[in-house]
Amino acid sequence: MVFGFNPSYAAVFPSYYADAFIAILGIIVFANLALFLAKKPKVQLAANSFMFLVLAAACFALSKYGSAIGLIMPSGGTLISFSSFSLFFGMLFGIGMFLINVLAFSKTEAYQRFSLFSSLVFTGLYLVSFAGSFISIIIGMEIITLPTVLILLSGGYKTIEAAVKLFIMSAIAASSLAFGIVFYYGAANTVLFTQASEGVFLAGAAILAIAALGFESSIFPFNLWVPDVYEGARADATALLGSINKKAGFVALILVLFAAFGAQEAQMTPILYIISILTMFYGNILALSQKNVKRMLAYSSISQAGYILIGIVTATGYGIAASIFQIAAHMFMFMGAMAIVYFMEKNNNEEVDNYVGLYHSNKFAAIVLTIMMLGFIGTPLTAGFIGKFLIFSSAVYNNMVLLAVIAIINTIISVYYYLKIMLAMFASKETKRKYKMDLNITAVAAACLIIVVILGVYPGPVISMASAAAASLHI
Amino acid sequence: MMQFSMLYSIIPLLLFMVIVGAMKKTNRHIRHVALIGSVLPALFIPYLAMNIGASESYGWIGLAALSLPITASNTIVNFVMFSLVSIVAPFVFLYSTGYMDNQIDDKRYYLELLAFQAAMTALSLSGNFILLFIAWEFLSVTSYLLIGFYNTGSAKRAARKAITTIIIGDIAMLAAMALLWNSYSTLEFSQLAGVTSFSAESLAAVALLIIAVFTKSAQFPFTSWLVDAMEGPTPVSAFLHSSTMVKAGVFLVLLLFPMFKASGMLNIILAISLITAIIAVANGIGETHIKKVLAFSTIEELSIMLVAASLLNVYAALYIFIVQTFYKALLFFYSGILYRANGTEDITKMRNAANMKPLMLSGVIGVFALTGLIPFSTFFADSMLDAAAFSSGIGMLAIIIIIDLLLSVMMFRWLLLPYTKEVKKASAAELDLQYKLVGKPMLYSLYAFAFLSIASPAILFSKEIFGGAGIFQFISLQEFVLADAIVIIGALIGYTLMKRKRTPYLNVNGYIDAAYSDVAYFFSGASIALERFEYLINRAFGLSLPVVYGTSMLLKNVQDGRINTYAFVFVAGLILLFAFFALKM
Amino acid sequence: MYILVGLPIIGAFLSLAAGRKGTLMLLKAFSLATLAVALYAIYAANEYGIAGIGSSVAYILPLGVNLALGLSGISLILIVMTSIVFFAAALASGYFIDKSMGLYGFLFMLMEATTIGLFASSNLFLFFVFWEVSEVAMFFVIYIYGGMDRRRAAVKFLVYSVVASMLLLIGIMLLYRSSGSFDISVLQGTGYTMSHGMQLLTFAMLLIPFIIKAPVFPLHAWLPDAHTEAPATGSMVLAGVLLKFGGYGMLLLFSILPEIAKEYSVYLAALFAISAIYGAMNAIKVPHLKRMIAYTSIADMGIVAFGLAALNSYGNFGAAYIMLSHGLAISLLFMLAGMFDKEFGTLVIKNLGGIAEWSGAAAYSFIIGILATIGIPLTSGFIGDILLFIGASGAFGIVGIVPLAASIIVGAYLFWIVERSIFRNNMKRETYSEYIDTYVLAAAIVLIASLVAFGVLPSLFGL
Repeated sequence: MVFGFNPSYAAVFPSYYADAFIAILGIIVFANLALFLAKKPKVQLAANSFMFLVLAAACFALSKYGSAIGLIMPSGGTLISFSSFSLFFGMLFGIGMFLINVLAFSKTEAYQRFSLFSSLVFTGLYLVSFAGSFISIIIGMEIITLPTVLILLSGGYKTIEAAVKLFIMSAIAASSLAFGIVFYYGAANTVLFTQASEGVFLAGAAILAIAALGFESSIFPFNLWVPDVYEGARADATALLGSINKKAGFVALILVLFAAFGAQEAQMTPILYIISILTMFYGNILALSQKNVKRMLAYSSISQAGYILIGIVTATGYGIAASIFQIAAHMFMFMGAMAIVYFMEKNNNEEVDNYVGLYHSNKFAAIVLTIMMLGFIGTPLTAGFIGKFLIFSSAVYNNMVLLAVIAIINTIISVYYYLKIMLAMFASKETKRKYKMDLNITAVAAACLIIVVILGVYPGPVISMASAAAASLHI
Repeated sequence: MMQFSMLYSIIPLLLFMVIVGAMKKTNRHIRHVALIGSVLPALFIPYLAMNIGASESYGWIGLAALSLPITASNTIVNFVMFSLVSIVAPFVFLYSTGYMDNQIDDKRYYLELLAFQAAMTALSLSGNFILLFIAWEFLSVTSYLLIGFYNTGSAKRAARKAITTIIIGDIAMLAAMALLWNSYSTLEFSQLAGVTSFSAESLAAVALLIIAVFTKSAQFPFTSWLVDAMEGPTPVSAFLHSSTMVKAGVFLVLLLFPMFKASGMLNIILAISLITAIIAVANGIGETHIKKVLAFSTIEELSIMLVAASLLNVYAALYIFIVQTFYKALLFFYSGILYRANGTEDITKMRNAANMKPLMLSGVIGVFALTGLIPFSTFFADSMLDAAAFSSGIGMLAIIIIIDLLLSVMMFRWLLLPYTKEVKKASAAELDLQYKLVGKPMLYSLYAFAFLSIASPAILFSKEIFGGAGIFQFISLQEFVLADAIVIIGALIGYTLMKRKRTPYLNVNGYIDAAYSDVAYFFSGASIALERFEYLINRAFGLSLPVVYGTSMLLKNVQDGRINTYAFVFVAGLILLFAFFALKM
Repeated sequence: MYILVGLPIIGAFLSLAAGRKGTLMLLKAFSLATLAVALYAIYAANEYGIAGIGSSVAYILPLGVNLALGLSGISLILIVMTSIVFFAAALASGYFIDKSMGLYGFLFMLMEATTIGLFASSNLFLFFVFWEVSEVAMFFVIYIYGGMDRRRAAVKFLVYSVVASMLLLIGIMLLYRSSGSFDISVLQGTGYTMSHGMQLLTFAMLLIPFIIKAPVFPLHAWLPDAHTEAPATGSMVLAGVLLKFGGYGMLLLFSILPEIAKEYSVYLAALFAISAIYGAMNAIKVPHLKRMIAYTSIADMGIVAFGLAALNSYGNFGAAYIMLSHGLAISLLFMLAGMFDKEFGTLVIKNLGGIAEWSGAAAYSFIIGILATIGIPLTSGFIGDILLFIGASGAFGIVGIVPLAASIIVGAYLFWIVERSIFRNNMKRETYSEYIDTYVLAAAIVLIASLVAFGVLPSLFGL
């Protein structure tokens, strides 16, 4: 998948780059073969997990030792670039997709389809993370979104509406992005990420890119589809949407904004500033009146997108590192929350009222969901706190105190609806039903819980990695 | 090894408190053990007598430049107080062994009484505000517990009234201490006595101290707690509310007299004390409860002590301070015996003992001593006071004379009423039997105090205390006539008043009580008003939620589920962004 | 130092696994152990000097945050008080809590760890972490174990808390921005490097959370409801310890931004005095016992804040001592009130009665609690009062003694309560148990003994 090989780098690549690459390719091919040919869902799960985890490990290893063996190249100038940024997200998406697959696992045919589609999505994710040009971005985004639509479809009758909406909106977004690329090419004469600065169309291109990638990242006003689609989809698909797709959108957005449109930063910042404020308010205020838990969490994730955007608005290394951290944190928090929602959905509990007394029915579920909620609010000892701390402090340190104040106002508003769920769960109605959680859901929930808490209590290493990732964007 | 300290006199009391605390509730000997405990401090009197003027200081609280030690000192005033307390206490305990016949509550009673004595002893040895305040507060607390000793509603109410009134003074004293320290960097009495210059703060401090004195010594407008405090058992009334605790206020004035004098606030004390004295006697004339009359007379005596002090005759004040102890306790013991025998505390319904001559004689001695017939104690005091008053103006003398007169009326009425009641023959015999059954300890205490009341004027000869026999210069023929005349006239008026069914009197105390209720109602009303205010605050903050919620409901309509809308917003957003950008260019 | 914070955390996790009896034992054991360590800290501080006690371990390197815990004279006082209150509450927990003991143990120990941690933290990041976690834990305690109207009270509590902590967060970030450090001792030296406007903004941002927490009028409205609905041991911890966050925070704030503090000290003092008297006045006619004690808390913390506003060491130490004394005394009162609720089935003062008949120990404990609250000597309340008012009148002159009016009012109505409900002899209904529960009595004795010990030996804390 490397085309347009830039010969000037041949001298930099030592010979075993090719060996490693072939090894990885082999793994991917083997895994996918196993995927296509296997009949049993368990085998497919194993294949997928193998692929995801190995690649995640590879990214991790590369990020640690890669610069020593000369495999890391600065971004810009190739279709595929390896940088700390890319490797970080490679790792993250690997782990994330692994968990999603475990979550969605079931011994039915639906899972077989799911695993196929998810490996395709995975490909798209890596394309986007390692992108060095706009082609990678647009192809990657499409490869991510279309299989997702197919995944949505397999959920049942109710999910058709969600799938169709997603499809149509993604089409609009894709065309917007294509239009943007055209402008960019017109101004910079290449699709590669170069930080071109002349050309009046560059700003237009930037705006179109923001719109398109904002669609995926669910920022205002491109996020109207989010609540409907999230609610309509089955909970594990929603987990995919909220944890993975959205994050991919942000990855693309950050890359595009800073690697390609770096020179337009001063013009884009006020736009993004306003967008982030609107996104936060939109998400928080609308979440207040929701009764359906998935919809409420959809709005909550919209507001979280707003917070992440704050870090991007500051356009400093610290701010972007903050956003990156929060992206990672939110991925796991959302996934953990969705795991529990999936569990409840299987037992036909979809409204907040159905969650009453959950603590007495299933302590584990209640505790996991509570900690995820606390993470969304930003309670210390959870990853969400560190993320919010980094983001708010980046705003304050860069003289955007007003933005920080608006963010905390939003946090205060958000407490109300998170409280609704928490209060319901711990209400003392003894219920007769005792729910048993499937093993895969338990595993995912536990994993997310552990990750969230560890990130909250000992975030040092991850913060360093995020900072390295941000630094490699060469702001 | 620690040096021998005056404060060790408190230790026996604390020790016996522990011992009593360890004894079983129903132990018959609690009263005797307590009695032994209460005698022990008296053994320190000789030691103190030999060490007049000594003082000891122990570091306690210290922070940088601030040092608040506990200082005990043994000036003349301290020594006098200590001796009084240590002499009176054993007799009170002795009396209690006979009076308190309900053994179930013995333990609680004697514990509280010993605690009180410990606090009083500590107070008497205090050399600075810290020790004084500690003792002062404990006096308030033990007094509260003892007044409310019986389990009746009125006793508890009286106790609450007492402590809520006294607290005002206690906290005033705390405030005064803070202000004094800031003005003079010391709370030692020896140093404060030499203070000559006053700032606004230190004057405020003195004013606050005066308030503390007034609350403790039941001066206007804080008189009513003492009257109601008679709900406590009689020994308690004898101990706390006549001989010792209420005199703590006067004690403070005497200790710090130079400071009060230099501050120029003595006039305030003079004015209020005179008013109080008048109120006391005016009320007491018509009172029918045997102990409440004594309460009013106590108030009057305290006022007179303060008047004497503020007229700059400290010796008179000190002398009354000393002698009042004995005859007051005597009269309370007497009233206790009458109560026990008659079963009622109303003097119009009582009948005195027909054939217990020593009892009757003791009562008469007490009243003579109180009103000032020569050669009983108060005569000399009255002489000194009249002279001091005369030197302040004839008007002052006139007021004092009127007060004395009314006092005399009140006391003779009190004394003689029980003699005049008619009783049927059968109940007369019954009554005599009751009198015979009166416990011997009570009678012994009574006689002891009768003796002391007669003997106490001898204290005037003490050079250490009164500095010379110049005291007697006040005695002249006019004085002799005047004083005795007052007493006798008063007695006669009292006798005639008694014959009427109703006595005219002025119920100022009742007005004060009503004023208290009004104050309480005011505070209650203010509180309720504030609660409304609280409710408003809550509503104001609670408004935020409906506002946001309403916005939410409104905004919900944006998401109508139609993809057309979504697409439209997408494109519209895009166009807006372009427009915004274009504008910025 | 880490033992102090670490011990309760271990206990917290252990109690998640233990059953009812196990948790109760764990609670008592761990809180006792923590108390022992705290008492040892007093000894160590006296022997080796306070500055020597402290430890720092690298934590979040990229942010420059260390797990740094240390002691100062005042924080030692507060830590000791905290461990005593928690020990007493642990003793009484068995009597008051009757469901979900494991979760309760976890929340309780978590609160102990974080409250001690807050007073011991040497940098503001840790301060914030501990603040927020203890708030959330308290919310859960109120909501899960509270009374009838607990939902409203818990929500109110959490919302006010989040408002406070969010503002606190921004304030801390502003401080970091101008000084480059979260470390408290560093910040105490650089408050001046900010422009005046910036200082004012930061001061306001930091003051509001502490005013909410203390609580000071007019941001106090969460307290009466929270206390009324919280379980007895929850109230003990809330009033005894959590409120002190406001006081301690103000102390730190005034030392970090002394310029602004000096400029506005008179206004602040006036606000605090008003709050004290407002609290006392409100309490007079409140019909519910716990609510009345809650307003007493407001009055007392108003006095504490007033002393802090005097900006001198007497005021600060006096305030610390009053916080100590108030914490212990109010815990005692709340525990007894909770006991009355359980025994007599009501806390409406009109309907209570015959308590002295039922148990003399309860009656006397209540009276001692009242006396400690108004500052009788030989309890720590007196030492606090005298120091605080010496400091306050030193700074403000005669008006420095005005808040004492609140003390008078408090004493008056508290004794009225005693007469009305404790001594009145009309035990109307069957009580829940025959005698006072042994553990509750033990807890009361612990609290009273501490009040007296600290009242008689101020030298323990270097006074």
